[in-house]
Amino acid sequence: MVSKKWRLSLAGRQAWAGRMFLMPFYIGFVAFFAYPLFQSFMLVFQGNVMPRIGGYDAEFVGMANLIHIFTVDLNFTHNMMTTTGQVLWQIPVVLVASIFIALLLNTKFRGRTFVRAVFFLPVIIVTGAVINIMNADSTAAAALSGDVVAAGQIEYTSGIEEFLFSLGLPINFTGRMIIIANSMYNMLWMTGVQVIILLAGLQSISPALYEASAIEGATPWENFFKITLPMMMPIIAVTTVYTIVDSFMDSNNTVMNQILHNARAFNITMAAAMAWTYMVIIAVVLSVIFIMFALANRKLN
Amino acid sequence: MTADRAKILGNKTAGIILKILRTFFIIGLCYIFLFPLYYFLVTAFQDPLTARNHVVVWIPSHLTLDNIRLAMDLMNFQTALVQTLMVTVFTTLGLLVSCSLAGYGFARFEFREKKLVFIFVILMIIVPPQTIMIPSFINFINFDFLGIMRLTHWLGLTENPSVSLLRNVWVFILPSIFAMGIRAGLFIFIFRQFFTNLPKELEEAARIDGCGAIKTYFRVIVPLTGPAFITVMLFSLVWHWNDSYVSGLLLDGQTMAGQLNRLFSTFTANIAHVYNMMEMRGGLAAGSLLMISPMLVLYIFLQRYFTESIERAGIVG
Repeated sequence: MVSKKWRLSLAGRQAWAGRMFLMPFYIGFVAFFAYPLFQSFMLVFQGNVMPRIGGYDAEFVGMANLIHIFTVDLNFTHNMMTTTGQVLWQIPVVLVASIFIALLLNTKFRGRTFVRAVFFLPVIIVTGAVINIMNADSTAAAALSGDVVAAGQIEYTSGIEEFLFSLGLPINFTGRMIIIANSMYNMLWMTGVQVIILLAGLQSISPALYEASAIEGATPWENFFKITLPMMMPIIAVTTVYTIVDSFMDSNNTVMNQILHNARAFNITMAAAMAWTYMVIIAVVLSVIFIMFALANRKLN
Repeated sequence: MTADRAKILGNKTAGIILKILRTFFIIGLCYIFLFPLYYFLVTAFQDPLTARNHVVVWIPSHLTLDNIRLAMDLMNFQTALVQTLMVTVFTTLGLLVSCSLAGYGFARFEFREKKLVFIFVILMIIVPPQTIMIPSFINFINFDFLGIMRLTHWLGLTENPSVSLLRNVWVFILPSIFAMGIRAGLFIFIFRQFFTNLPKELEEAARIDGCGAIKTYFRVIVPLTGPAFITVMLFSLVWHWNDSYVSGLLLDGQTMAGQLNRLFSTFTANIAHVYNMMEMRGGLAAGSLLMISPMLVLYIFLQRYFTESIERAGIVG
């Protein structure tokens, strides 16, 4: 009788087997994610942090930290505005470049294996430190050989700039284009993972679709806009989210550095306040993108 | 008739022009990705005295190991290398086991809270690491995992009720055993995609033959999903090796990436009065080479499996 009471149904046994596989994750999620996340949220409103056994003690100070980072700290607001602005125009550039590279790699040509291996190199190499050195060095080399160097960046484009000005385009637009053109090199180094995701997506599109469109006499251009792009929409959404998260968390950006410096100097509560403000901005950008993709999807269907 | 011929001819020319354009783009992009490597290699082994010579551009004339020695000295190379290797290798092992188990749990079992818990995984991908890192930093000073240390202390088994894990490789290894770490959420996601795509019949056959869930997982599933494990392994190795942010706080920057950052600031701060421009270029190139070469060697051996696993379209599903 007792054994029958304890015996579970097949579905129940399946459920417990699943929970068993997830057990490490459950423990880890509580101990190393949910609890620290809660703590860091509380830290935004706390001061006087004192470590103790198994944790720390802190006092409640209300909005003082937030008021401090927005009104007393001279750099934070500025850093955050510039970083957010930079990331916002980086996203489309990186995305378009990744889609372009993925389409390029998806065609058949000689030496494709080698070229693919080369194009995935950014995944392996890209780190803040190495990118810094690459930039500093090319700038130094350019300065030595007499190129135009402004604000620590090489102006590859002074000719284009003059040309655009002579066309009478608005100065804001021209300036933005020049900044994008000058940072194209760095943008390309940010495409590694995105290209992998997009390429996997391109290869999961059934060839039958293209065969059917070839019989109907579609041009490659129509193929791209009528088959490839709609089929790729969910994957482009994933790539966009990845790009946003990745560019906001780039260890070279000024807000990330400021948070790290504050934490290392044991200004824990300030760092927490900055981190949460920053996270709110990331969340806003992500939700806007989500809504945009949801609307685009509805239109396509 | 002639119109058709003209059209075919036009298509042919367009095809050739497209091919030329494509080749042009491919070569240009290859140059962008390969040139820094070549540059690092040349500058690192080039005598700083000859670097100023404009005749010597592509092929170094005087080879030397001075740059490498200088970079190794300033980067505290041995400690950094051992520390980074320990973090990278053990954390990756931990993540491979724990994340694949979690991914399998999500892919094959039904239970009530599954949808909610999967939202947690997405949350792990989206929440920036610094929010978690800041309180972890204080927690690790007097660390006590779920009260276990206090319990053993109370029972008289350990001398201290807590242990300091700060600047210890365990700050990475311990969470990795429990499927937490740099981008662990993404790894769970990748594993889930791979496992979902496997045919269910294999497991049913195994169950009929009397395999339990765990035995099925280790005997049937793991041997079949080699590409998934290689993909996650490569990503995890690379991201932990290249991380300078989380380790910058929890390991005080005593890793290769942290030391490379330090090398950069040492050089830029002391340029002109301690080191000259050429020494700086050589030293920085040597440091970068030391940093990227282990991952590069690994990539050369593993890239075949890596691109294959993408061919099979497992990541997106």
